[in-house]
Amino acid sequence: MNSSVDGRLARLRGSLPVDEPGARGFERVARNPDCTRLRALTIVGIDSATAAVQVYGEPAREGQSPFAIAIGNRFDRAMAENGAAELLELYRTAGRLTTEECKVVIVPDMVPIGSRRDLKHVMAVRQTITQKLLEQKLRRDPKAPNIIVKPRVLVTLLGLDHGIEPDVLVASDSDAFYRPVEIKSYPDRAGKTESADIRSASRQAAVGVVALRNIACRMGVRDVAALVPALGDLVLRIPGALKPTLRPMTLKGEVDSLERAIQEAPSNLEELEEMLPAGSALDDPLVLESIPNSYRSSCREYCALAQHCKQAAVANGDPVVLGDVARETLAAAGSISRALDLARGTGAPPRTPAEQALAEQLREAMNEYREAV
Amino acid sequence: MAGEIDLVARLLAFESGKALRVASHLHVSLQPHALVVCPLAMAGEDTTIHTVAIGHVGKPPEFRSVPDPRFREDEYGLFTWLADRIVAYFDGCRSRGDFPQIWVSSSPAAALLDILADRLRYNRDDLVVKRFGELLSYATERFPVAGQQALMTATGALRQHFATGQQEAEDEHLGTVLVWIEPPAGRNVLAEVAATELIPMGAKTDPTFDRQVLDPLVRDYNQARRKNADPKALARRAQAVHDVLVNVVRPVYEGTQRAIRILGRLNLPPLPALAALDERERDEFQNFMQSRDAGFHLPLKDKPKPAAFKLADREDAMDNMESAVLHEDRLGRARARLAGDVLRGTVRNPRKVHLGPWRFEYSLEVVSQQRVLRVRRRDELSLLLDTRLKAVVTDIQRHGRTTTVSLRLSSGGRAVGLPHAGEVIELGPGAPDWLGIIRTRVQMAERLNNPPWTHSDSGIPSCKPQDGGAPRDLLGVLEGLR
Repeated sequence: MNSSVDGRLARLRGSLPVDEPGARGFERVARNPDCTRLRALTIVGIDSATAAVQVYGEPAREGQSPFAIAIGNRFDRAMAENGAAELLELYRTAGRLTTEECKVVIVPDMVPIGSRRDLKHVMAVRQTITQKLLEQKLRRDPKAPNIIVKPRVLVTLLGLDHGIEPDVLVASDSDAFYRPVEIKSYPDRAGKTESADIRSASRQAAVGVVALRNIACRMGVRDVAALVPALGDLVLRIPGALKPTLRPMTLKGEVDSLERAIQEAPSNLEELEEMLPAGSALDDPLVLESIPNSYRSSCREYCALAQHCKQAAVANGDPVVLGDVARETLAAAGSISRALDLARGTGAPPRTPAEQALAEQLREAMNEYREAV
Repeated sequence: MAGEIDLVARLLAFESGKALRVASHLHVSLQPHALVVCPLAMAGEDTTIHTVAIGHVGKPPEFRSVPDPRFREDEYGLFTWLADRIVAYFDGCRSRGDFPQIWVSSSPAAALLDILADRLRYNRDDLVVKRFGELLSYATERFPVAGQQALMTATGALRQHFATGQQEAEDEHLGTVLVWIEPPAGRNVLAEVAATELIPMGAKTDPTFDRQVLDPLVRDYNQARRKNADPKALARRAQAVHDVLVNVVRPVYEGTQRAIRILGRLNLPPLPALAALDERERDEFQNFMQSRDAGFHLPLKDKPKPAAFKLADREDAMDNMESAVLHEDRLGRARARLAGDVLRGTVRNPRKVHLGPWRFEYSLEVVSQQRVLRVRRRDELSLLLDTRLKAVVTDIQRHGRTTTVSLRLSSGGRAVGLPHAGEVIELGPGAPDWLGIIRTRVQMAERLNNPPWTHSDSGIPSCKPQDGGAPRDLLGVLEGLR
């Protein structure tokens, strides 16, 4: 990232602090590709929680409980300690690694964050080490590690270079390249595992796939999709224990949707700057408000702006406040009050064939409801 | 458009600032002895209970907490305390020939009980806790079955009867649903909903509360414990944790009780199918308890054959419940009409043709103006007024908004009689078949005697054509396999 880009980003952030979006940030963009506001914040490196508090003046709310953070950290540590013995055992039991394939590199252990060191420098060194390890694997060097814990890769997403840290990369000696692994402390309950958790973890693993493809491309690989197929592993937790379970996942849908989301406009800093008035910054509520959002029922799961967007939707009478089905079904009407007019046959007559069709449907449903209730 | 009735009800609820009823009958069996259980887990520790409120319908709760559920001994103390109450309740139900009914606030609470049942029923060290896990399994295993009455979520039960003016996902928060149903007088419902949303109503405490209140108290307790503080000091710290947790779980318990009261106060006639559902629940419970008495093991994962039977049970329960709602609830019927699952129209050309001695063929046409119709040739439809009359669709003609469906009676011609010309009738799926599952099980037992190639070592069978070539009526043969 050159300094002029740094300067432009800093100007767009205004007084707000920078926050590296990471895989989770891009996963959120992929969840709601129509939300330009979230995309803009991600491009310039502002966390939605920061925007909610500092731009809109909403009360600060914790995203995650300290107890949940503690168990997550304990599980991550348990996976990495003793030379990632748990992970090696997991992959051996699954038949993915042999007993000889035990080369492990734990990147943060090689370059720990010391109190005297500059964080940026530490990250740059980790990135260099990871790059070398990836090149080693690409050369088919038999000394290339089978497991890399917390590698740091530099990828170009939304037109800018970002550091991404997949939890783990794994490959047997015979594999051509690495596969991303996402470690989550969710209890693995087979078919009963929370599907939203699995989807979210899979999307984060998909960011790892996109990142590896990005790097492979930079290294001159022609067929990146063949080298890095849309596959990833989820490492979850046995309920009530700190033991891992392995779930190989096909991530084709997630990778496709992520790539599509990244290509949507504004897909880079230039497009974002063109959207905004000259000299404006996203710490100004009016500027942030002028960027279109796309409030959905799932927004509250991952975006701190959800409550603000919901209030705006309520104020506008947007059908989305009644759910995603209402948003789609009542799209022709555009607002709740208009939908009610169409249902009752009051107000202006239907203006379009779509409104006419919707009016008939709603009137019929309204009659049936009144009769039945 | 799916769920048009519910969408219209939501529109009207949003406009009026009050939830609207979307059922003409009561869909749940409210057991006067039901037990309300409100457990809260520590965030991230999904196999624990940090605090629980428990009590019978209409009764005040008992509370129990552990200062830190990550300490196994403390946690098992809570499980034993809870087990005493659950075992006594289940035993009481069994001795009365009744079935137990547990109410929780919402799906996350039901999921927490499920994960606890999975974890505790295999416990080898503590037989009381093991028994607790086994009994809990009865309710949690029944939970995914449509029409079950063993484990009820307050949000689910309310959703069956009310439409709110918010998103469906937001209906999982019991507090907001209650605000919509009984909005406070003189206050804006949306502002009230926004304030209520901040109060935890599921199975976990709020992250901000955890950081600002609970975590410091738990740390304080753990520190004192590590330093071998005197029992009084330790008890004082444990009490501090208990007090703050009770303040969180009490509204959840009160909300669940209030939901049950609201359903009772609706004074709706019970769905006639509830009698059959209660009977089934009693049978299931007695079978479950007998199976425990006989020492049968509860598997964590089913083998293919029991899994197939369970799947068939669930499908049957779902079909029966859908059918019961369609036949017995006016709103259910209206939904089916709009979805096109019920054919409503005017009878035309009713004919009775003499084929031979005591043999007649009855046929008719039904002319409908429905916008959406989901009817195919060969479908067998029942007269909703008297389901003994059944007819098979022989032809469908559509001209603009008018659809003419030709039918031939397959049964009930003499018992019910051919509808008259000009009569408006409704035809749709048959009535619930509560004994159908017995026939299905017999049929499945025969078929599953030989495991299919997907679950055996025989490999993929060869693609050799059947002797005598393909059947003349392939669709008929396939339908015959049902």
